[in-house]
Amino acid sequence: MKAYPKTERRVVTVTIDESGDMVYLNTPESDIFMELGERITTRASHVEPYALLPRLLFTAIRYFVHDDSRLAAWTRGWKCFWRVNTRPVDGPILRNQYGNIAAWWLREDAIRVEIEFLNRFFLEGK
Amino acid sequence: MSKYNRQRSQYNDRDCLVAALNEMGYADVEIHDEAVNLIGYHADVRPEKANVIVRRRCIGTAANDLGFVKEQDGTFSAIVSDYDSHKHGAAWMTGLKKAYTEKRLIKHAASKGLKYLGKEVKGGKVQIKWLDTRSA
Repeated sequence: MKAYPKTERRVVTVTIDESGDMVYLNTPESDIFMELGERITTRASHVEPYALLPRLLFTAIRYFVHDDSRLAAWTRGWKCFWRVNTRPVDGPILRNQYGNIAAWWLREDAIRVEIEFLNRFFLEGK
Repeated sequence: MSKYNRQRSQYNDRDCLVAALNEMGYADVEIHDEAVNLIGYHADVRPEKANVIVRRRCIGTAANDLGFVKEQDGTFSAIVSDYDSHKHGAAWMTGLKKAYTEKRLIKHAASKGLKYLGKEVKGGKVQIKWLDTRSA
C-alpha cells in the first residue's frame, strides 16, 4: 500500500474495543501487529470525488479494478474536489462547520482528515 | 480510501498474561514451566493442570484455583470451574482480555522500535498511540 504523504502516517493508532479486540487502520506501519492474532480486513471509508458525475465514474471503475491497479492509481490522481464517505463503518459523509458536505482539493488533505476521523470514530463511535 | 483491521488477540505471551492477572487484582500468580495440578475448594487435587495459576487463597474462601494451561500451539487457555464461573464469567474474562491486549500491544510495539505516545480511555475502549521512529 502506498504511504500517504502529509498525513500522521508515522503515528500508529490501535483501539481496543469493548470486547478486547484490536481495531486499527490498515497502514504499512500497522503491519507489525499482524502476528498478534488472526485479523479481518474491511473497507473503512471512501475518499471519492465530490461532484456526482466523476463520483459515479470513480465508483464504477473502482468496483471493477483492484486497489493496487494502474487504473485505480489513475483515479486517485484526478484533479477534482474530494469528499470523505465513511458509510462502510456506518459513519457519515464528513461535513464542514456549516453542515455542508466537506470538500478538499488535495486528496491528501481529505485522507488526513479521514484518518483522524476514523481513529476518533473507533474510540468514540457515532 | 482506507481499510481497517479487526483482530482478536491470543494469550500467547506468558508475561503479559501474568501482568494482566495482576491488573485484575491477583498480585500473586504462580508460573510453572511444567503444568501442575489445580487445587479445588475442598483442598482436593483436581485433575486439571495449568502453567499459570492463581491459587484459591487469593480468590476467595470457597473457590477453586484459576489456571491457564499452555497449549501445543503456544497459546494459553483458561481453566475455570463451573463453581467459579460467576466470579470469573464472561465480563471478567473480557476485562482480562482487554488488560492483556493492552500490555501485549505495548510490549510488541516497543520490541519493534515504536515510541509510546500515550493512551486514551473512553466508554470501555482504550486507544493507544505510538510514533513510528523506524524510518526517521
